[in-house]
Amino acid sequence: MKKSRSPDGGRRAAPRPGARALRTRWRDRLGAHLDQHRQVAAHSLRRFFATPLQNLATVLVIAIALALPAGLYLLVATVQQLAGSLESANRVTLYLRAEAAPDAIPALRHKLQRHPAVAATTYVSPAEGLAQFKAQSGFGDVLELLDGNPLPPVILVTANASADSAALAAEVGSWPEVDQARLDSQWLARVRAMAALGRQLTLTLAAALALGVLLTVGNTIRLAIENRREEILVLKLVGGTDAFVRRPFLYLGFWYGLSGGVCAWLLLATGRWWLQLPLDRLAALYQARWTIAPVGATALLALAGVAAGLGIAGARLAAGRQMRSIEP
Amino acid sequence: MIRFEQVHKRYPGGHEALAGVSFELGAGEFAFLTGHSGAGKSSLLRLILLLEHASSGQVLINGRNLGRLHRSQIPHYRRNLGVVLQNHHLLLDRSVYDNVALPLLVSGYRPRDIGRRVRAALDKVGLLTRAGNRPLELSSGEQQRVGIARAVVHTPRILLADEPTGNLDPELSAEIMQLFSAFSDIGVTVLVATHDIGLVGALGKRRLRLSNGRLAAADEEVAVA
Ligand SMILES: Nc1ncnc2c1ncn2[C@@H]1O[C@H](COP(=O)(O)OP(=O)(O)O)[C@@H](O)[C@H]1O
Ligand SMILES: [Mg+2]
Repeated sequence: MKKSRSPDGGRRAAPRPGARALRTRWRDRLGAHLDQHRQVAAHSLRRFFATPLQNLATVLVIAIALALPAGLYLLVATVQQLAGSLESANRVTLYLRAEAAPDAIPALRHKLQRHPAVAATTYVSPAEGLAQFKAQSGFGDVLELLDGNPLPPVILVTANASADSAALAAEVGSWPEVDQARLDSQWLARVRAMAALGRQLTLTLAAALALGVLLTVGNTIRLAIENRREEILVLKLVGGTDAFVRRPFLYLGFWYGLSGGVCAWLLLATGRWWLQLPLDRLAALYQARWTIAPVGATALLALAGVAAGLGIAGARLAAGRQMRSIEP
Repeated sequence: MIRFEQVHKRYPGGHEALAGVSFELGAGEFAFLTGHSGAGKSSLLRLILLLEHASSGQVLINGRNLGRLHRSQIPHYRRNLGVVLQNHHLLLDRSVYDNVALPLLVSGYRPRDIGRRVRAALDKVGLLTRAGNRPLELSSGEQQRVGIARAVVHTPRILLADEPTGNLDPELSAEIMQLFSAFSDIGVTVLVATHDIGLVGALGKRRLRLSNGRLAAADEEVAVA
């Protein structure tokens, strides 16, 4: 049996077409195919906007599911940036021997100041240290019980941005007046470890929420298919293939995903603007300026692309089986 | 061409709707399928449409055994058929025009061909002026004619109709039959199930009589010959 798929009735015996005619036919086919996709896309978009309130809930769920891991990702990136900027302002705390004569300290500071790796020094006498400790710790009463002041004299050394502060600490630590040199970067290592953990968590969360988006779109599409059962039956009756019948629903999934992605971007951009203000204040305390990674066109493209892909995949999953089960 | 060979159709309940039906209908032939309500007319048409499968025996359409058709081939097979079913199966949220265009749409016709063919089909059933209406804005008879336009719009090789004139007045019924007849003249095989005996007599076409799932003896002879 010949298939009469060509517009002018392939069933009538036609002379063998030349290469040009064949090419024209292919172009016709392709043209018809693209036309059809455009129509289906437009039609499903109109359908999508036909019930805006109903769709809003689905779109918001998708948006939140995408914005959460994306926001977390930005947060982790920001923390990493913070850690990086603090690291360059590294500090070495020198605990001096208690027996060091007070008049040796200015000489020591002078020596330090001439060291190429040192940017600045601050001297904290035992009395000042005790006052600070009392003020900060709230354990002042306990200290009253002690005889005298147990704190050693301290010099806070700020290393040059380009200097290797660990090497500086090692070198200065061996000087006779110095009891111990401590590098204040342990907490940075902790921050970095936490950022790595945060990244890992972000990935896990993203995977879980992507699955959530798939299921949400899938469920929405399943309902849409059920609502249009009659249409599917008729289309199959007149010879619509599974792919043809499925297409509008894939486009519907695409629209859900795309609008969810754009909404997620809006949420992120708003959240970033919201957080930048307190972050600026925090940065001011450290005489630095930190910015959250920008939420711009690249982020929009990435979110919209991922979301649209998830939308199509979710629709495909839902439509696959169900489409087969609806037979005229 | 339609060929039935000893076809039985038994529904899950155990009811035998068709029992040993054999006949052949050549290309361009026009036949009525008559019989009392429950005789098995719709069941026979549903077998050709592959809405049901024969319990035993063979249905051959244009030389192809429907029992051997792969699931993925069914849509392409159905594009060779034109169908008017008892309930119109029109899409209520689309215009008359869009409903009639469906068979062309699924077959990948180009928009300008679709427009030309849809207008021609609507013209043939006298509904060109209602192209923009929704089905529910039409009378039952007009809806039936939309279904008929949709069945012929792609010039199918086989035209099947189940009580197509059920909602039409006599003049319109006769006109629709003239239209079907014209299609058989250009080589379309036409099979019309009806209990409207008056309609059948007027046209003097071949008649397949079903009774309790069996073809009347006279029809068997024609078929086996
Ligand atoms: N889906 C079905 N399940 C069970 N029995 C059916 C089904 N469809 C039709 N029948 C039975 O098969 C017989 C033939 O029905 P049908 O082909 O519709 O007859 P007609 O179209 O000539 O009135 C009837 O007795 C009917 O009840
Ligand atoms: Mg019937």
